[in-house]
Amino acid sequence: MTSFATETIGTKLVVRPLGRLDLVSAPQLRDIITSSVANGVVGVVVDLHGVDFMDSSGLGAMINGLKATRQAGGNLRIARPAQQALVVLDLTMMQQILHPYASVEEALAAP
Amino acid sequence: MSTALAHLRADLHSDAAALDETHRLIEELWDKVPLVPDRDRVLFSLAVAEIAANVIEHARGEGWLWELDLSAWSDRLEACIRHPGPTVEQGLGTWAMPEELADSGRGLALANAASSLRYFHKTDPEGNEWLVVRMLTS
Repeated sequence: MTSFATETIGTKLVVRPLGRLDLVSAPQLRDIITSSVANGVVGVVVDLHGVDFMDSSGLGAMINGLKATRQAGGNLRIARPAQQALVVLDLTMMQQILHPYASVEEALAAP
Repeated sequence: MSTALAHLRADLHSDAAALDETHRLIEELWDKVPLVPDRDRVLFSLAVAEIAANVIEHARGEGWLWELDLSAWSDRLEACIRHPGPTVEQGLGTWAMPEELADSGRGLALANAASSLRYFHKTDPEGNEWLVVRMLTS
């Protein structure tokens, strides 16, 4: 069972999934980001450090969040992906769109 | 000549718990063949989990069982996923990545990029089969 922790840092939201980011848990991530944008917090960092497996549904939830935050004038960054998530980003050629930052701090500081 | 090293199979429901069981069965396979390189494990697991997720998504509300068959050989890893039902339209597509900001439609393309993927359909009795093959890198 995947759990999610959120932390508001300044004007941004950090989301920390723990477990698998897949068909089952991706809707939760989508809901968290949608709710954040609806509440005016449009800068989101997804900290992938605790994600041991990500599939196309997990990636899709982040792309959905990227679009939602951009439409509201913000952005979504990802930080600390494990090797498995990097493989998914690589195979789907998404590293340009979802650049993986080495730390949450770097992702928060990115323009 | 390739040699069979391990074989596991399970009949699974078409629900979210089946994804847990899929990952558990893959872990059990690694316990039986500990020398499989990490990259092959990652790519094979990803392909199998994508197809399993696709089957579960496809089966929502249908209530049928599907079959997961995993095998390790001296030169490759294989997964065979069988489920009843009519032709899966996605199976007949090109399995190409969608446009970059699409938030769905990558599952089969990703599975096929991670391992070799084949899709079969037969009639009487009507059923589908997905074959995932990952040739070992060393």
